[in-house]
Amino acid sequence: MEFFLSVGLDTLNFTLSLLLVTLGLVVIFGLMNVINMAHGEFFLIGAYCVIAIQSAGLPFWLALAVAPALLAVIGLLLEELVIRHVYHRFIDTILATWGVSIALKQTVIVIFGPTSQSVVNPLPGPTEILGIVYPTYRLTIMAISLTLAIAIFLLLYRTYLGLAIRAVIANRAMAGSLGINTRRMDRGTFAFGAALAGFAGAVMAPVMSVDPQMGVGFLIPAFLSILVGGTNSLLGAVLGSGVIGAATTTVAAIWTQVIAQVVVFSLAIIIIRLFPEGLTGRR
Amino acid sequence: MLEVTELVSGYQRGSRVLDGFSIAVETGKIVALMGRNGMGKSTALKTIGGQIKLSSGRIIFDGADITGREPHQVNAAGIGYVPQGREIFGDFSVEQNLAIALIGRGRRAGNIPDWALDTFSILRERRRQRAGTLSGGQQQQLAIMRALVGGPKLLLLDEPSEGIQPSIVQEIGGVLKRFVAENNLAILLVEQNVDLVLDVADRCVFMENGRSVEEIEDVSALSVDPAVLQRYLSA
Repeated sequence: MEFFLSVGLDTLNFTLSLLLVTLGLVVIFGLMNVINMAHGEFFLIGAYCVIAIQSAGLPFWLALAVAPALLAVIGLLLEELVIRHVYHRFIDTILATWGVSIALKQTVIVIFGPTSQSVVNPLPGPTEILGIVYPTYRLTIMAISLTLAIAIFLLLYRTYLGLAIRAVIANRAMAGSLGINTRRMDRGTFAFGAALAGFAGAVMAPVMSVDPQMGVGFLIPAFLSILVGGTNSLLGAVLGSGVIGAATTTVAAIWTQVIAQVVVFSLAIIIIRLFPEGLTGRR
Repeated sequence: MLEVTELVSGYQRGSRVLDGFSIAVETGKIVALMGRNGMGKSTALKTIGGQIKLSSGRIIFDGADITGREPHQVNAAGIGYVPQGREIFGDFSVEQNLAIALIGRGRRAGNIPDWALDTFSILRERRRQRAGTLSGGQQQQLAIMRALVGGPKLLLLDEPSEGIQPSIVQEIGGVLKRFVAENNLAILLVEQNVDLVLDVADRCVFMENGRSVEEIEDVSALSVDPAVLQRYLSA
């Protein structure tokens, strides 16, 4: 019984962590259809914000505000200088953002060095939940992820700003002719996605080893989650994170990490074969 | 109020779908733009609306030069656009489609005026329904109201009768005439449906190969002497 509960909690933890990382990608890849190869570096820079704040002797929680703010600025610059020239040109987008990702990663290495660094856990110690002792900070991550996902859902589907964002995505030319400044929307939406990635990086930093390669680890399952769940809805990302997260954790608990990866990729291939638009996709 | 002179534009760099197109629309008038398929009628509206970049020419609206403006700036100047094929937001409700237009005009999106829902009564009836589930005619009514709800001074209207049953076309014609009479609205109407043009238009401009070639001051003359129609409309 305890085994199932602890695997269940691990699954939920991994799923919600994955969801947290996926949220930024939902906005940039899912909604805007931009394949941003530098997304992992956004995450990375968010994590290094924590390192910088920590070595300056400032409290950890400050990083949760600094990281998204910094990434929003980086996102704005990147959108203006690179992305806006390659909208709807998939191969060009991949190449251009790949270049950006290398530049960002090397900048991080120049500033912080290539070795891995660790972040002091801001909430050390366990909490007992359902008779199981679980790290407090991991529970915090789960709560943050869930709250953020709900907040973004409300923003996109229950506010007029969200309506305008979705209108631009659904029909850019028509939204423009109805008076919506589509350039400003693109800029803002991309910066918002970047800020979410930076926030995720900062939140995840205490439970990961912070090194220049850390972005890749979560990026691939995050892309998979969106493809499995369906590219243009938030619900799809939630569902996709659930499938990928659950499969990874349960299989890894029963066998090994390696088998888990094999199973997850096979599962993703089968689902995408059966539902090319993702589990929530229409048509 | 709208003065367009010598527009040249096209979909690729250097292409001349519009090749020296000129037209004028006065306040409170409906001007019909007619011609065979592929003569550049829709391109003319898209160029005025800012969706297609022009390579030369001048667009003066309400005393201001709006040449080369972005679509949202053209909208802000007071020009509403109803594209061919309606292009409503199919996943949004009827109300949300109208709300988008209010947001675009910088108005409070929660306050959809009563007249916007009541002019075509089906819009009030179906206001919470997904717009994609409406019939073609109802979608057209929504698209027109979406353009009108922001209170434009000029409406660019592209083939509102296309694929729509005659009774709805007639209803739309009546509403257009009423808006022109009551609000001093001007309309530039691209249309193939001669009956609708005869019903609503004050003047008629014929287009051929990207330029306006003939203008009929008195549209009723068209019904008496169909020779002009035959010249520009039959293949």
